[in-house]
Amino acid sequence: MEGSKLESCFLPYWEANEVQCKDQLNDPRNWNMIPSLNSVALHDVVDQQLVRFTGMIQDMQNPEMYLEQYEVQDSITKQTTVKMGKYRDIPACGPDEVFIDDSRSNVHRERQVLCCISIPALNPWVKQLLATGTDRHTEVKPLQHENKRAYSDESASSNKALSSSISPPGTSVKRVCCDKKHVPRNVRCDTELHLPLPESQAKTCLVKVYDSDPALALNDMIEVVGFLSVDPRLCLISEEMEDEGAQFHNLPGSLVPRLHAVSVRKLKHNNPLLELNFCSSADEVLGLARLVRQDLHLVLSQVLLGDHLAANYFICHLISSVFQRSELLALGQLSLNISNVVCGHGYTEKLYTVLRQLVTKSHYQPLTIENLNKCTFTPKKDYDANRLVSGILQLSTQTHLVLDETCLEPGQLDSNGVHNVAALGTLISQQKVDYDFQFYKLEFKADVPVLVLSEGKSLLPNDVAVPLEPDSKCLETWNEIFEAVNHYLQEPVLQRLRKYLTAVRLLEYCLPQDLEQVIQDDFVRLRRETDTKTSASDLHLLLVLSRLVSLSQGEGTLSRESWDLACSMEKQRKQRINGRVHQP
Amino acid sequence: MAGKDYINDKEKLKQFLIEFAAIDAEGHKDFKYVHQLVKIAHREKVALIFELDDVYEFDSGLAEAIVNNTRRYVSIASEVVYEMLPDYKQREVTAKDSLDVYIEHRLLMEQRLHQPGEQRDPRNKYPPELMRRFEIYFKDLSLNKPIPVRDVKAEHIGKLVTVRGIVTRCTEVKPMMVVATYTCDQCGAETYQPVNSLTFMPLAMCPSEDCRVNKAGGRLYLQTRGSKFIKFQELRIQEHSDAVPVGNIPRSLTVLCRGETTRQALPGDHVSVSGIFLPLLRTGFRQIAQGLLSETFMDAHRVVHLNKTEVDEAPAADLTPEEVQQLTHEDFYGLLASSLAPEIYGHEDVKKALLLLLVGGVDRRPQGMKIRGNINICLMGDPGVAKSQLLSYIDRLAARSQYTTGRGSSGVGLTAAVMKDPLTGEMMLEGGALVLADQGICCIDEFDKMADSDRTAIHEVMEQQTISIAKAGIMTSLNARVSILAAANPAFGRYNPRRTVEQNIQLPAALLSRFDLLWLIQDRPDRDNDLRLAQHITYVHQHCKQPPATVQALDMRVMRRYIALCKKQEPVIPEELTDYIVDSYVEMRKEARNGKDMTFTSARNLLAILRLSTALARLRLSEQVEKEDVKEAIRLTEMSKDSLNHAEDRHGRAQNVMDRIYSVIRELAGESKTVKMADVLERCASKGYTPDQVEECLEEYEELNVWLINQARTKITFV
Repeated sequence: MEGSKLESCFLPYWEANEVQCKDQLNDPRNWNMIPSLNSVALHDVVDQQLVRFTGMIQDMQNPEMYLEQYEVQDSITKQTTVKMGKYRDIPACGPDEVFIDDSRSNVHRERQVLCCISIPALNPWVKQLLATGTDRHTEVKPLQHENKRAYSDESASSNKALSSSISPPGTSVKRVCCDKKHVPRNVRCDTELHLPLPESQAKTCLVKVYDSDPALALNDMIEVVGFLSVDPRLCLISEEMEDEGAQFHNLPGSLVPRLHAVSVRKLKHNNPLLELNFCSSADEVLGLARLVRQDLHLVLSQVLLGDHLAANYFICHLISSVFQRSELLALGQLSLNISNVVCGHGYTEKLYTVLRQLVTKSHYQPLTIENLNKCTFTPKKDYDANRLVSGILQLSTQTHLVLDETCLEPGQLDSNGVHNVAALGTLISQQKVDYDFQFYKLEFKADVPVLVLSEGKSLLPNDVAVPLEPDSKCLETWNEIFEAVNHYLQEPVLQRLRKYLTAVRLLEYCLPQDLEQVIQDDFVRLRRETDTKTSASDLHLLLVLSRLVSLSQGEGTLSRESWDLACSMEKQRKQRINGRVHQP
Repeated sequence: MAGKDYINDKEKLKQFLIEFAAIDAEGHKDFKYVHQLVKIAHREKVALIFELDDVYEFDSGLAEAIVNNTRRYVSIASEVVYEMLPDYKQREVTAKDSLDVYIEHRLLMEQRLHQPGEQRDPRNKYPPELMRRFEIYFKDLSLNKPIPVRDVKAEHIGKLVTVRGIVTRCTEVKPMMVVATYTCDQCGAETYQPVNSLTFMPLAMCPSEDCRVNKAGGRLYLQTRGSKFIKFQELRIQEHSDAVPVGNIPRSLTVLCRGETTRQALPGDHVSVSGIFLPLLRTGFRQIAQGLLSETFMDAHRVVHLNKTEVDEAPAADLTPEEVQQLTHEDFYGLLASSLAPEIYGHEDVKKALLLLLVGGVDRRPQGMKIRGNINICLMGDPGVAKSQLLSYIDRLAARSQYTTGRGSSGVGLTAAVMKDPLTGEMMLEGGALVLADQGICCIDEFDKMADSDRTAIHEVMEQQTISIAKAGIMTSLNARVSILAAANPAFGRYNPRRTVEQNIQLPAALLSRFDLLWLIQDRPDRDNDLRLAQHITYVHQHCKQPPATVQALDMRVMRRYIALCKKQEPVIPEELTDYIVDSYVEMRKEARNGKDMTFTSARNLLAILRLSTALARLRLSEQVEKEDVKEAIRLTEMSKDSLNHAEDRHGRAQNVMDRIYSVIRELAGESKTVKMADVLERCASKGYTPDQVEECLEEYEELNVWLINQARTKITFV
């Protein structure tokens, strides 16, 4: 009973029972009851309804000054009343009420305005799961509502009928008419400028945060619960305001809904298969870690054409994440360059489709001369429109970026291209992106595992370069191998792998005291060996690698075996590289 | 606030204007506001700036009241000044523009037409704004520090605040109407409408007595010439990059400039703006619709263009007690040094040397001769030993610096060039990196690859600290008081310890001797060092932070401020240290003569020691150089020599036997192309290599086509 309250909770009810409602929000079941803007069409929810939105903070605007409390006067009875302005865009004035400008009871407050977009580079399986997840308790709503643009363009008449039957009569119809009027053609590309990657189903949402939490940073994944504000009168105001800076504020509510947040939480991961703070399921996943790792290794060594070493590195790469930073160093990342990818056309794409089924967020970027010259990689501030124009590299943490260098051909890079390559370079080596604010550059931290596929040595920097050594048999039958692998990757297997990858990555890790000595001695010994030039950065790499090796086995502490395994992996890899240098 | 006695404050302001006098250096009283008033009365000046520092001195309560309710006091001050102006008029003022003439006429009209006590429609009265030709501005208290744009919040509304930022947009300067003047087409009466917001609704019907009584329905027409306009410009400023918290987008603020505050800044300029933070009032329908939201802006009172160094150096003055606490660490010298590029492990002595370079020694000018105080350092070493990282770190840390490579990309190069202006065809001088880094640090990467013309010029820079130009009829000498931090790669890919420094870097000794310290950085295995390095790295991985043993690195900003503080010191070398220094120098010379030294010890080394020791004294914020400073300076010089001379021994392992034998043969050959086999064997035997090893080496290098061995195996010929 209580849950259903939140499912269709409106602002006046909330204001009346604020404490109680906040309490209810703490229960994840109630939280999940709230209709999510990500999957529910905008016309199925009403102004001032409590809704949910999951997205990434793409831009932060100047804070807004608003009246938390204001006084109105009834022009007939001359009676004044004090009203609340929180969670509202438009004052609730009756027809005869006049807003008192200089009343003593007016209280000015500030709220932060965040421009959120649906998490970029989300893989199809996650979207599907999220959509079906909400469908579970809002069965009335058909799935095709997902795409609101399709709706506003073609306006399926059946949907419209449905929507007006669900929402209180009157308001909805009025809004639909209004929306129609205020969708100029060029607005659509306006919103697309907020997306790092072109995606058809992406949604943008302006979130207004009260009691602003300074911990919120750009590119954070957040989940917001708040009151929707799509009052048609908003569009009217926006047309009146000629200030260019406010342009984005003025996008009609139908395209960019506004959300007045009552609760914001940061997401550590976005795997729908796991709880947000997956205490309960973690043990179960980790218990199976070794087995699942074997499965994963099997799959990866197959798709990597029988190369077991490369598969080991691939697993480590998949679960890597930055855990520590200093000025120039980002520890924990393991960017991988798989070189010697020689076999035929379409191999890299197929490899990517396998990857896409495993991780929650990924993006495949073919590095062609044209792409490098034309695309915007780094976000740039547009002062005319007062917004941050997104670029491909504006990604939330743990978005796997796959750069395909095999399609690169000789050609001329223009200045934009050179800039883009440099930006990729700094992202890979330091896990940060310099956003262009025209007058200066501002550094933003990233945590994006980068995989570079190339024929020869990559032109981009990398932590680990593994030349692929394909099995000759596999080389001939790689098409069949992919078919077999796709056949093997059925739902239960996939679910296990997906859970495993996220859970293992978030595992707490520690380096036990007793292994310190071993590591130090090994390092000193390695330094003495003349043929392998071991430097400080190699030790960093070894420690990161051993961390990932133990994590991949579901172990939170480093063991001697994992350390030795990491060392031997590195040794094999170096031999392979040296071997290749001498061969030609 | 309600009971505030504004009339009293008005009197106080008046008194302030008349009585306030600054005492200048000679003890004369300077009635600065009276002088300003006189000028304003004669239309020689427009802006009257109230410095709140002065007001504070006069009456602290009043100054605070002004800061908290600035808008109100602007109008009070205007009234005061308007009343006072006629008293300061000393001569007849000639009308400067039509508005002056209008004002004069209007005043005459007022006197002629209207009897005192006559009832008048307030609308037809001249609004005070129309008659005033001056502007009132307040200059914020210097005690009030600029606040970040981010912290300008609702509670600052109506108050005078100072912010710093970078101008991102500015509109053209446009006239803005302050008072609209209308004339009626029926009765001819003038009507005035003061405009306070950005928009206004023009009046249409004549409100005058005549028209109202006669119901004439007179229409009003706007008179452009009779209206008063003011210059108006809108700026947008954005936070400085260092004020933005990690992971946040910089915030911006709209600034409206009127009158004299316009045209002070262009996009990209760093500015400091004081102004009143106000909500933007909208009128009519918008106000209702907008309702809950109010846009805000800052009404500028003072816009100051800052240059980059001012921005950086501004906070130099005061270190907070906490920071002082941090700095009064017992080993603060070591602490400061290890805070340089903390991510580069080890190289303590190099870092110490770099720290001294940042601080610099003291310039001396005995009888017109100039002895530089700047310290020059050259870092050499095999590729990949973090030379460039050190350079770029110093470049970032130094308040004034230029980073360039020996092959500077611009045609100007390192020194200066005479360029022909493409538009006017005039010849002009353009400074290169060394000139631009005057009184700072010039970091030159790939020093060895410098262009010849620069190489000759740099001699002068490094000792005389000037650049002389005699090109295209321009003969001049530019200041280049720079410390040079150079990084050079060895000529043959890696440093060959058997050769002299000049040969390795391929730079003349004359140039190299100008460096106070030459460091050879090598990455060589060394059990103890490796172990410490391994401990360091494992600790970082284990605890996700820097080890506590290596004290927490200082913040770059603290470092910068401390170094700025150090530079203010001018320590002297006391008499009693002279003997000690002389003795040490003589000792060094003796050692250099006896030992097989690859470097050179000359009088320049003595100067270097003096410079280093004064820099050390500066670092201690001391007035006097102490013996310890000299000791440390000598130690650093020794260490730097050590790094060159003993490179050989430690190099042993990295070079394998083959390479060593090869270098022996190479050395034996010298300039000639052929070597006798017998000589080779003899020499190698004396160096302790077995004939088998020599044979192996000969074969290997023959395969590589380095040399040819004749049939009889008696002669080696280099290819």
